[in-house]
Amino acid sequence: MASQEAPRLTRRGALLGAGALVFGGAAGALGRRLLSPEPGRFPGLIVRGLAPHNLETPRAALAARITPLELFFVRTHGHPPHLDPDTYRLTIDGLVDRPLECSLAELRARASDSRLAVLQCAGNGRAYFQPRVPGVAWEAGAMGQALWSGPRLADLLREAGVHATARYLHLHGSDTMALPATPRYVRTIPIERALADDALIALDMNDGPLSWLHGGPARLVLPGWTGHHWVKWLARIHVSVDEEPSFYAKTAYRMPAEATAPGATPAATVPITENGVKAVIARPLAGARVPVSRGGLEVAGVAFSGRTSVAQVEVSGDDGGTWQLATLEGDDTPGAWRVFRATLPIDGPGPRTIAARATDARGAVQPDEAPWNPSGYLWNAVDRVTCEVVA
Amino acid sequence: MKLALLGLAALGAALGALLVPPQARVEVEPVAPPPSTQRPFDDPGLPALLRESSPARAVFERHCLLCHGLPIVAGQRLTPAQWRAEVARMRDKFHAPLVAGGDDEAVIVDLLARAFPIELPPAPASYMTVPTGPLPEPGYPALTAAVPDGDAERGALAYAFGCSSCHGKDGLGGALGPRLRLRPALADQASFRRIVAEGLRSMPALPGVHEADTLDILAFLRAPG
Repeated sequence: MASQEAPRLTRRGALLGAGALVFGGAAGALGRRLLSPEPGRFPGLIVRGLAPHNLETPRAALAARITPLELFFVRTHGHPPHLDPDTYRLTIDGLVDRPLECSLAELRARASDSRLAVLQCAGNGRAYFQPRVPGVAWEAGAMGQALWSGPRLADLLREAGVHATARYLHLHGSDTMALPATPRYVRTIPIERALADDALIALDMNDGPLSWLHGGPARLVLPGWTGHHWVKWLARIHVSVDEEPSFYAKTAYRMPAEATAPGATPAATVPITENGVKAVIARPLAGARVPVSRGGLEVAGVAFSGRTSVAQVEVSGDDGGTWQLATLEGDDTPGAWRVFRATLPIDGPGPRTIAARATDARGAVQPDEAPWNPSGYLWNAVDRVTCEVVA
Repeated sequence: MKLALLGLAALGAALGALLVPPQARVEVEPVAPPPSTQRPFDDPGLPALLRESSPARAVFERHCLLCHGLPIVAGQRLTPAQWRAEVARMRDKFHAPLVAGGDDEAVIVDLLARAFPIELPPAPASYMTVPTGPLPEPGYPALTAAVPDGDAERGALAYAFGCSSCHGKDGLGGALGPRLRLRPALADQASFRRIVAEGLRSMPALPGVHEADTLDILAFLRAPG
């Protein structure tokens, strides 16, 4: 085997030089925060895809202020890159006076903020659209809430000296695509959004390092904006006057500019930015059997709306015929969700369709029907769950 | 030499053994392959069209499953026109190696439109979970001829995320990739690394895999099961 040493070392050097680390350095392999004690297995999550990982949070887990790590959904475009925390660098370049190349320790030294925020995939609820549309068939659980901590993006940009002419950031993820020709994951955000106080480079998720499948060691956090902006395994931030032209930056994640008839092709599209106003029921679950002897039907879930907060959540026990106000728990934090609870009266056995709808601080109300669009984005119709009250 | 090796590699897995230098071969007692615990095509929730092996399914596997895995495909309910548009999108936007209007594309669209039509009820949430059934009893002898300088424990982790979606848990074989335990290619670091870096048959080349990780994975696959 000695004869293999030379090519091995040469090849390793070449790979390191190219930064093309897929499975990462050995030092990081066991230091990563994982979702389950058994690597590669996700007992609490609904598997929508494994190559790459697309894992959905079950509805039952959606009545908590913080979504447990092992139940926090995962959306991935390519295979998870095995970044070594010891050699990881975040580069900020382009229209800046002083390009930065920060190690993880240097980013940690700049950590200054924590934000409670909902992370939701733009395609959450896609499976509910009629006519059906292609894409990962998410139901309710491509969303979760965590406390994200790290440096403010604006502070890093100021440190680098962003030019006044800058208009966009190109955010480069490190996802590894199975085919060399497949577009890499890059997103563009306007400079105004990047300079807002709430935009973070998250290094921590709740009480520990950002987990690997959630983008560790570093991802972008943009409270109120849809998940595809929250670039995972963030490697490079390029400051530019132009939008990045590649597929994920310019073509994907767009909505019809105007209402589109189901099944039709929209004439013009616009980029998706904010999450819509939305309440989701976690209890009861569909098909649950609730004894009439309980005296009331307990409803619980979460509600949120883009970069604003939720003003109220109404709950109905007769599919929207009558509504009552739910109580809201937790802090009134823009970009975060609040747990809602209500107890509905029950007067006898039979099926019950429970509905929930949120109204946000801007006055926007969760619509009865979500606008159909060809890629199934931003489903936020009034949430409905049918259960059975039994004698 | 490299071109010659590449050419041989493309001929198939069976020829892989020929690439191993004779002095590096390891004698291994034949062991009957264990029943795999991760064969999504056996899922009773799948349409018969996909549960049964067929030339069309082979085309589908070769072109679609390398990037997607089965669950995301099985979760779709689309019209034939939508399936046609999706396959064309994979070709045009994601550069899947399909020829526009070619036979393979037509075979894939036909298979998927029949297997997952718009009328089919949605897949239940529990449809495609990672199997958690018991693993076969241990019984894999370690290969003892030459100990790779990787770390089997680290390799288990790297394998779980990088390889298991195709090759199954613990290298026992999966829906897409064959069993890896006791393969001749494991006897030799060079041929193992070459397969990872350059691909073999339907396995894509993974030139970005870190050298150290490749050796860790090899150590894991050679460790007693």
